Amino acid sequence: MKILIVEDEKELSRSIAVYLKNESYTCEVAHDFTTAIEKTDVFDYDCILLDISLPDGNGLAVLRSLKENKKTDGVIIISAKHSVDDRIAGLNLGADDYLAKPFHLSELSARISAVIRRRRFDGNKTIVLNELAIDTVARTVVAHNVCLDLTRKEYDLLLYLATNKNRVISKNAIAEHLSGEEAEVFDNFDFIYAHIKNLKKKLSSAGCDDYIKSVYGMGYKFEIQV
Amino acid sequence: MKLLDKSLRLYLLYSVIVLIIAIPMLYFAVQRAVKEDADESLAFRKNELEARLKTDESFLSESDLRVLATGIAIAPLPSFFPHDSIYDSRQYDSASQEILPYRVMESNVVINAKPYRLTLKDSLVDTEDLIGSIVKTAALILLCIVAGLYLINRYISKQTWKPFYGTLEKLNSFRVDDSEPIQLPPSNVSEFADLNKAIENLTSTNQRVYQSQKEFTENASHEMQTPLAVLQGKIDLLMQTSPLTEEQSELIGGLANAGRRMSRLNKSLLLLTKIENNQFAETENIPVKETIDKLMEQYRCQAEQKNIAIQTSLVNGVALHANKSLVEIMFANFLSNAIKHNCPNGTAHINGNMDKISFSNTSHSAQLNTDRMFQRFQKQTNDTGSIGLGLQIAKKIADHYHYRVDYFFQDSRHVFTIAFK
Repeated sequence: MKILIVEDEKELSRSIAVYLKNESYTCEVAHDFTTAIEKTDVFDYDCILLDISLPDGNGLAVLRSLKENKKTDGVIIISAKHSVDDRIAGLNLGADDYLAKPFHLSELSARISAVIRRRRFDGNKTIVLNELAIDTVARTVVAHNVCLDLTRKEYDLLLYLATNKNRVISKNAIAEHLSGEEAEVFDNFDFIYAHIKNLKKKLSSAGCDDYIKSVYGMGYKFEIQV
Repeated sequence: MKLLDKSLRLYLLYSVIVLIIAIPMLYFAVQRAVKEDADESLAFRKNELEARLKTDESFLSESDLRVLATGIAIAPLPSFFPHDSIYDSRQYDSASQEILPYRVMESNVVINAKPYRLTLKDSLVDTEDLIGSIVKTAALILLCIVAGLYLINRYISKQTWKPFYGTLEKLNSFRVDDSEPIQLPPSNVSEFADLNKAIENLTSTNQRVYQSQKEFTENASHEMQTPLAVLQGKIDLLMQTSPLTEEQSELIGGLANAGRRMSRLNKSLLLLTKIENNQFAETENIPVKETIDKLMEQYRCQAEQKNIAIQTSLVNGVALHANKSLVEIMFANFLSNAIKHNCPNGTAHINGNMDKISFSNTSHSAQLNTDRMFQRFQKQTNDTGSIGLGLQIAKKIADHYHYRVDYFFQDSRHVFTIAFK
């Protein structure tokens, strides 16, 4: 899987690249508008992370040129502007998703894998992790041929953990992922614990291994050897 | 008291005092003059009569004794003693059949060595009428003058102060966050022109300062997002390093929380700036009940966590014409506050009708300080996670749409009401 990171802030692009590299993604970085145009003209990417404000141009122009050249690369806009207009403009131009800065790398990773899944044409939209199979279209989870009865939140949680497997995901990231923007107003993330507990219970009663580990002081980790 | 009334009230008071004193004075002065005149005429007639009686004795025939002429009477006296008097008297007049005022002069005279009393009287009916009409006319003229002066003065003052009131009205509606400079009505009175100039200078300076401060907040918040993103990314990466000791994990967890709070703060400040910049222009009809239901679903976990029972009583079909995100943020802030600041096993009520909606919750804390509750960074709890912007944002949104937010403390419940009209 090839990812292009168009981001002028070097430290941020490096962090993204390091995080994604471990997900078996191949990352390339463009620090400015010109490089971004050059790279997108020549290569095809599975997903492009596009910052809107670049030193020598607008990231939306990169998106426009992609569409003009009939490219089908997935695009996630990462912007420092929490502007609804930007978001709408980006999505109207054909971006697949929009993520406002600052974001959690785990969230970015989950969004990237969702975009890639959606763009996959071989119809295989199921994530298989040993005995677990997550059907992202039907939004169901099957373990040992038994369909698990998960709530919407539990399914989201499992998918989030699975797309960030073998990574420590902070409680904050989980809370924000589960409640979206609404998590902003809450500081108490105890409710995550309840969801995790229920999910673990359901997985273990279906005969799954105990993949979800709590990491002291930080969050949770979906530990799996594939 | 209005400036206009203040000066006019003094004028009016002075006029009334003058009128109260002048009208009786006029009355008495005229009356005195009239009486003096009557007395002189009586004295003259008496002297004339006396002279005639002395020279013409036949004039005093018995038959003529009683009445010599109208208003003259003569009567014999048993003995002579000097007596002269002049007085007012009211006597019955058989001709007009009513009691009429007279001026009477009594004088004892000696005619043919016989004492007589001579009585002369003059009717005062005409003169009294005269005095009456003089005083009335005078009073009327005075009243006209006073009233006229009052009205003219009032009119002139009003005209003079007109630019002042215009300026005052403009000042009242002045908002420092308006980008338009204040437009004051021109005045040819130099004091007002100076005042207007001073106000225009002051307000434009205020607007400039406010604008630059706003821009600063805006720029600071924007510029902060990238380093915050870097920070968050690095923390996320740091979490993936191994091995990590418990001590390190705890430190990283602390960093992550601080980073999160910082980005929340930043987002809230940006939101406030955007509301102030009127960047939420799109409006639509937002059903209140559905919005609340949606938010309740979102906060279900948090409410269950604290075992808080939320009761709603909302009317169907109430809709607000506003920006969807803003209304959701506003309701979300009130609702989340009702959960956050609730006590465990508490209750929260959401009641609404056509005109308003109220959020109330049980709490261990006492009444909040209403003076400062809607200000920035005014935390009224010991909750370290709270950044103290939630209520301000909610209030700002309410203000934006001219909704009225009230707070009161009743039956140990905190109640916030939002009146839509």
